[in-house]
Amino acid sequence: MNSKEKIIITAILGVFLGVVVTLFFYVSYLSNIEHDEQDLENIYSSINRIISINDDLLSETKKLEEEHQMLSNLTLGEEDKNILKNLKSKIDLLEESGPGVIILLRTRDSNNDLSETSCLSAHLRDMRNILNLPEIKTVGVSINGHRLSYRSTINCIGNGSVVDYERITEPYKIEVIGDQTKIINMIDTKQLLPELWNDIDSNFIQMELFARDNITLIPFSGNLKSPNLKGI
Amino acid sequence: MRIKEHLTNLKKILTIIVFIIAILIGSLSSYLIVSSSYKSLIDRRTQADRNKNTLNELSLLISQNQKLIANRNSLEEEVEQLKTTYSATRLVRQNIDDYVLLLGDEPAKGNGVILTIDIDLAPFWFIDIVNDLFDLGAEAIEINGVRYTPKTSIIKDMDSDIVVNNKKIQKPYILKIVGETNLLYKGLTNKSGLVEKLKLNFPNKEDKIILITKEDMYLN
Repeated sequence: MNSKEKIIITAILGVFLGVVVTLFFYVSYLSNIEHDEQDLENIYSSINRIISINDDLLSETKKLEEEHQMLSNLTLGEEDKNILKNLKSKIDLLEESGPGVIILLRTRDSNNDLSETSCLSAHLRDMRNILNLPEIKTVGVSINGHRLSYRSTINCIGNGSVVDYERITEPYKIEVIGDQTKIINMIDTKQLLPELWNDIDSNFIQMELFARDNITLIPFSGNLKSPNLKGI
Repeated sequence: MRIKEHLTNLKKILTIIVFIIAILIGSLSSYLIVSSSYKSLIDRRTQADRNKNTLNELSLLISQNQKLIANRNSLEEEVEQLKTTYSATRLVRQNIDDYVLLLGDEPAKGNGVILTIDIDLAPFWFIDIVNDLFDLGAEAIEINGVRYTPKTSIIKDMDSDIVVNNKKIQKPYILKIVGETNLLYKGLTNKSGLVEKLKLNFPNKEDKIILITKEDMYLN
């Protein structure tokens, strides 16, 4: 074999090796992705199962709370009843009614291709920021019918938002009981909600405000037990 | 003789260079062939990576589920107690005491963690931090001596200072958090936890974020 033939054979072997190595990486890459997607499907199915279990638990809890309230009232004298009622009202454990404001938040669907998902970090941030306003905290607030407490949390789970234990979807309807003028003025103050107004000004989300004469909020039904917190 | 040796060496070097170039050509050509489907692969990869966060969300959901179960069990016990007059009275008095503690009207104490952040933070950071802490089962939070209560707001005033319950606060921000210590510590320090999130958003300031556990911590 002369040197020219040797070089040609070396070149062919080199090309072959290059192709094999590249294809090997490509195939293992592909198989990793398929694995990930399979895992993801399993996770989503677990999420749906847990959300459904949580829904059942929530309805059981609501029934028990009603029974708890009825039995507590039977036990108490008038003065204690008022003390308990006052305290429960302050921590959102009582039904409340009164004038207030409805805030509707939704994605501007013409602006981006993410509108098909209902959970965006902007929504979470904007909702959390609105709920942080002092005027929102005066009497009571709910999101999509779910009454909030000061310990309520809002998160993204899968492609949806979850408030405490309940999954909610767009449009996000925040109902607030309180002084309508003060609430609307506060929301209109850009300095207090810079991120929200930035999202609105950049056409990312849309917000509508409606004053209502009578809003009714159901009691908060989550867990406020504090076994580690003691009096002094 | 030497010239012959040189030629042989040159041939060897040439063969190696040809081999390397051939490997590169082989890799490049096969890459070009598969690259037509590569873009969609990248998209799928990105989607898969993004969705991996879903695993963390699942664990959050499981923790919420456990809280719900605990709440239901405790309610069941209390309803049983309420059915007899003596224990009912005692229980309702206990409920009143618990609610007073939650409202922050009286000082309290408990085990938990202290998170110190010596970084300038915008108000939304505090709102996110409080959200994460309650997710981890925090039972009471105090920020620079101010209790987080149902009426607490964290805003920026006209002087750009952070104001909590009408009180201006400045860094270092010291958050006392009462709750299940292990749960809080692990939740805050895990890969998707608050401490890591802060470190990621404030690079080179790792030493400005300190988390310690604390027993019998007093809250205002």
